[in-house]
Amino acid sequence: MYEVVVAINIGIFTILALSVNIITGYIGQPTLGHAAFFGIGAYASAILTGKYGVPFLLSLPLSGLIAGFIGALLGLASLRVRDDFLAITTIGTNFVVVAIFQYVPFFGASFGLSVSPAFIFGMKITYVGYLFLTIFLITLTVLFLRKLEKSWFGLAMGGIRNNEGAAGSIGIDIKKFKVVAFILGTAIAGIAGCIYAHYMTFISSVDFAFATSITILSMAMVGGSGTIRGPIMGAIVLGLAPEVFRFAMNYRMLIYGALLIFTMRFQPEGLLGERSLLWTNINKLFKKTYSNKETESGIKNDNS
Amino acid sequence: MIILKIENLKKFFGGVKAVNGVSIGIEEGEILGVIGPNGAGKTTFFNTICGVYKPDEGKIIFQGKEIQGLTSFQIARLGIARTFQIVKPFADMTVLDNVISAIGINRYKSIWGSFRNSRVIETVSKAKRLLETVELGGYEKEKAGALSLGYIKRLEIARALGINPKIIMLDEPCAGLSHDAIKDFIQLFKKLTIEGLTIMMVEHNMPTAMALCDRMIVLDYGEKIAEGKPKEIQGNEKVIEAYLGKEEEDA
Repeated sequence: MYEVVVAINIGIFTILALSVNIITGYIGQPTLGHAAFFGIGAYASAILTGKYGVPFLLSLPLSGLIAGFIGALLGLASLRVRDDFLAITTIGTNFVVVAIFQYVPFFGASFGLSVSPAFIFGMKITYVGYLFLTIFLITLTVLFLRKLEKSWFGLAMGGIRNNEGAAGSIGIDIKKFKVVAFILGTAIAGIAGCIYAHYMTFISSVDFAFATSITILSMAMVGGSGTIRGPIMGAIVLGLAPEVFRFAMNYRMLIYGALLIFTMRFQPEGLLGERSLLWTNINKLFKKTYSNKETESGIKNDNS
Repeated sequence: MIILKIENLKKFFGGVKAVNGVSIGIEEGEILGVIGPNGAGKTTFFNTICGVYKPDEGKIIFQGKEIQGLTSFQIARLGIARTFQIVKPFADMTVLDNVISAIGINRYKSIWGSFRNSRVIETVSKAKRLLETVELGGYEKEKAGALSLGYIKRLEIARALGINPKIIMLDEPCAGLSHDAIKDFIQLFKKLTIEGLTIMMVEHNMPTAMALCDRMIVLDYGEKIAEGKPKEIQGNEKVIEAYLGKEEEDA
């Protein structure tokens, strides 16, 4: 039971880390407010199913749509500000959204919201059911991201991440792609929020506070942003850490923060980033051609 | 036939008249050089044509259509490519992806279309061909940021050619290159014009500009002070004055 709960949690954060990676990793826009959209999805589904009797299977995509719609607004804001200022704007967004959840009675205010259990085809979803649902959604997200990486969209995002001036010079409409990237990233976070709400059966504004945004971002960065394997790895490592280091529970954010700083300083591409220590070593193990090249350059160095 | 016509183009930054009433027509298939001393407004002139800046006044007519005020990606889609004085490669992407991303110029028009696979045989082979053209054949899998300056300049040209341009604007393509590399570039540019491309270039190195350009304009303080064949420019008093300063009159 305990293992299943931990696995669902890690699964939900895997989706979140993968989704924030679209915005920070692929198109290179800093965002420190991703938990807001996680929360918007959760509250949207809680209210849709609880107050309006919308079935879970319909509220799952709807909560994604709602989060994506509000994400589009943040995306539009991102066209006006950049870099540090965009980061601050996204932090602000997070605080505003949490404040709305906390003070508006419609959202349960400081009491939080209890969420009705989810049914699929008349059957109540069990913990194991949530685990499978989460794994299914991770698979969908990964397949979608793989397609994205191979597509023109992926190249456009890479161009914008590297240099907006050059991206414009080859016909990439920077504004359009930025807004769509924000929509995609926030919509997926919204869907994760929907699962979270029904599986927890109770949500309150603190679940989606700034600290959660940092956790999500840490997972993507520590794992290796701009890749698919990175955020998955990050979510597993940082998701398991509090379980393993339960005795150090009170220092969780401290450990996260320290990990983030160490990653930035010593492995800026993350644990599994393209040129990271771990990933190059894994590559060496599996690809003989790669290790051959390495020795060749080694010999050259000896001669000179 | 005149492919690009610029009429009385003006771009001011506050009180600074960076481009002040420049007019010029560019013939199809020619190499037009834009020269001038430092701070003459050459790069601003380029950036205003390419849509990085909106002109304060004047017209830019490309193939009979007024294009002033369009954004840079719209201008690129019309077939005006460019490279940058300070190189702007997509540093963390491979050399091949840098070029492929430009070939997709028409795929970026719709979001749905852009979800299609980019690395299909057709685009990859076209990108490889362009890399061969600029002699970057063996570097496809390298990260663009790992290349030397000269190779990044080649890459930028390949990327610019990727959009299938009718005119390419080169902002100091030979600056910082070795003598041999410049020779390669001169040959490359001549070859490209034979294939029907029009080139407009800023060039600081006079011998290179003389060897390459069919015609030249000279800018100084944002104004066009001379226009003509390289030989004519060489002897032009105003040009010499702009570069070397006025001769003091002896009493």
